[in-house]
Amino acid sequence: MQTKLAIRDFSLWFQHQQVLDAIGLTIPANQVTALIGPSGCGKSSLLRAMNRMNELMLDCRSQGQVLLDGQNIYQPETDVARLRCRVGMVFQKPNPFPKSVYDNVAFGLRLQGQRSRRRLDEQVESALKQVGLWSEVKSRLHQNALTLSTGQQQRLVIARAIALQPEVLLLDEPASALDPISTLKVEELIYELKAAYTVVIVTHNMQQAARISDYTAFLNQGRLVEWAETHTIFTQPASQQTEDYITGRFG
Amino acid sequence: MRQWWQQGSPWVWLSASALLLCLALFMALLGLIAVKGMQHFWPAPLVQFQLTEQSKPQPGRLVRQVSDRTEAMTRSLWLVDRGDGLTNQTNAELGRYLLLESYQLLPERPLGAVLVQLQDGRTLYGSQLQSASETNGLWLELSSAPPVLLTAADIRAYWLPNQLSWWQRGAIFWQEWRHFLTASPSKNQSAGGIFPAIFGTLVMVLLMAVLVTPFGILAAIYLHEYAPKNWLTQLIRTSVYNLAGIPSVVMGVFGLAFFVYVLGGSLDRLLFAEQLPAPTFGTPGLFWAALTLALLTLPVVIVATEEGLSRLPQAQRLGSFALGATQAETIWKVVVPQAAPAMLTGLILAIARAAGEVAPLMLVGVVKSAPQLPVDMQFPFIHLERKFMHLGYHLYDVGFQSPDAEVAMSLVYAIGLVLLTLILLLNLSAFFLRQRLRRKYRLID
Repeated sequence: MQTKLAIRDFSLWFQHQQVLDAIGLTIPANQVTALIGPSGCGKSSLLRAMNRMNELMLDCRSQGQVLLDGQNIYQPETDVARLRCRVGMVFQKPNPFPKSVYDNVAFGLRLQGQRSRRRLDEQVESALKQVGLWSEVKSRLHQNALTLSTGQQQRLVIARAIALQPEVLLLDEPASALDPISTLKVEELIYELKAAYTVVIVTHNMQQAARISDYTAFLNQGRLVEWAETHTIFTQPASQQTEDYITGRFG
Repeated sequence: MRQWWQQGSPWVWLSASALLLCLALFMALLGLIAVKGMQHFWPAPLVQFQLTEQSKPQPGRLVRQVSDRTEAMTRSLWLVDRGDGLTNQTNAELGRYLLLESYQLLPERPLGAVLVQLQDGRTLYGSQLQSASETNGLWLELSSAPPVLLTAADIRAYWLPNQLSWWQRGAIFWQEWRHFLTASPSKNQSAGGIFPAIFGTLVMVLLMAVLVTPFGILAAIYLHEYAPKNWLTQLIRTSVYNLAGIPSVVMGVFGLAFFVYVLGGSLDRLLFAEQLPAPTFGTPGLFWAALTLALLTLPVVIVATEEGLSRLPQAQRLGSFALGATQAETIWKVVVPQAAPAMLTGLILAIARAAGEVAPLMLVGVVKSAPQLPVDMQFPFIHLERKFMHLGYHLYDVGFQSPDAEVAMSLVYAIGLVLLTLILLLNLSAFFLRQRLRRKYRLID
């Protein structure tokens, strides 16, 4: 098992409140890792720590290391924009730009300096095909993306992220705003994506974590309680807290 | 009844009637200005009053002067019948109105009554017109004075108000409007057209918009997107918001003291030293007026732009950052396009405010009558140092500085109508631009 991301002794504070406390976690390459835990346990903050999105919040301070392929991304000389191309992210609510479907997918590529129309066409098509949206939108590539359904929008923003061919894809509760059928489509998509990408997903839905992830980390109150292969966590958790949480006794 | 109170119906009625009152006042204002302004150009019938022996004009001015004063002394009065019932009044009332001592008046409506608009802006009323073939001019018969000979060059237009059909009246109405909008004022300000004032207002407002928009938008972007969120930023923001409350005349004083004397003076010493002591930029002019108004409207643009920036969902910014955009790329490619409608709203408000300002302009560049337009075919085409005319100031000048109250009265309404229409047109164009942008960047919540 190859390690893609290694989080070492990582702590995070918002203003004076500690959100993450000395987290140590390994994210294996080409696997789906699920982060679960009760609301406010810091799982989303941990996810955002992996592409330094926390820094966009007010008064955020961190300590410790996050290694991407052995390189600490918290080194001062890190190019954060470049890092976020390598580690893509999808949010809870779909947030396409009010531009055309095509321009949404091409947004990151154009930022990277891709000007060739032919190359852009190819990459947009390939990204949309990977998320299974191509057949649905190929006739309306130049319509406003906000005219798509919510489920389509969420797959569109996933396409927008993978168009940059990131190494890691961070998903922050990607299906929580979707209806059951769209959820199913997104879950199938995540399952397929792990062939090409390392996927980290935050979810509050235990069944979802059990269905799609290979590894699961359980967080509570800013600490990592347990991390193991998913079937181990769900069948024989080592900690009483984990068992209480996944059986629904708290959280 | 009790239930009616408890359901909160009184509040509905109270707020609805407040709105109704506002609307009624607005409609009354617009209606008054529109009707009175239009009336100024309507070729209404003329009524002649012959003063009998007993009636003696009082010393003093006629309340409603309609003809040359000399003619009033010669016992004949012309009155334009605007349909306001004046000509139906009894002799006594009319005499009081016209300031006559004894009221023996014989009103009649002679078919041949003539109204002549002279090139110099004066209006003559006569009872008959005869062509003077030998000089290619016209004899105008005044009621009780010897006829005068008018040459074709003297006359701008004339008509016989008492024998016009509705169509002819309409034609004259439009012709007079066109003249009003396209001609320059005559020597006495209350006649002729107002074209230089319209043009000056337009150029000044557009120049102001060009100056204020980039400054205001950039300032708002810094304030909202870059500046750290601390007490200093908040203090600056509060100060900027409060700048909007500075009386405009104080801005005018500042414009005169700083822009004209300090900036303009230094500019003259640097660039136009050979023309000193005659100032080029060191005197009130178009550019300084536009700059002063830009300063005045800057808070409006900043507030509106910031409002638009803060309405944009944070998810849009995060989405852009997550795709590897830098902060500058996020601002220019995601934030600014979506906040553009709000920026245009700010611009609309700024234009509406600036086009109506008069007080500061009197200090920094507006004049009663400007010999040249600020834009012409001579290099450099737009002459920023020139003084200019302005509708608001023209209105004030005609309304309060003119000796002829009767004409000035309806002329003030007409100028007001033009100023209102101009502001409306400027706002409408910005409004439609904003609607287009809104459709383009439609956000579904």
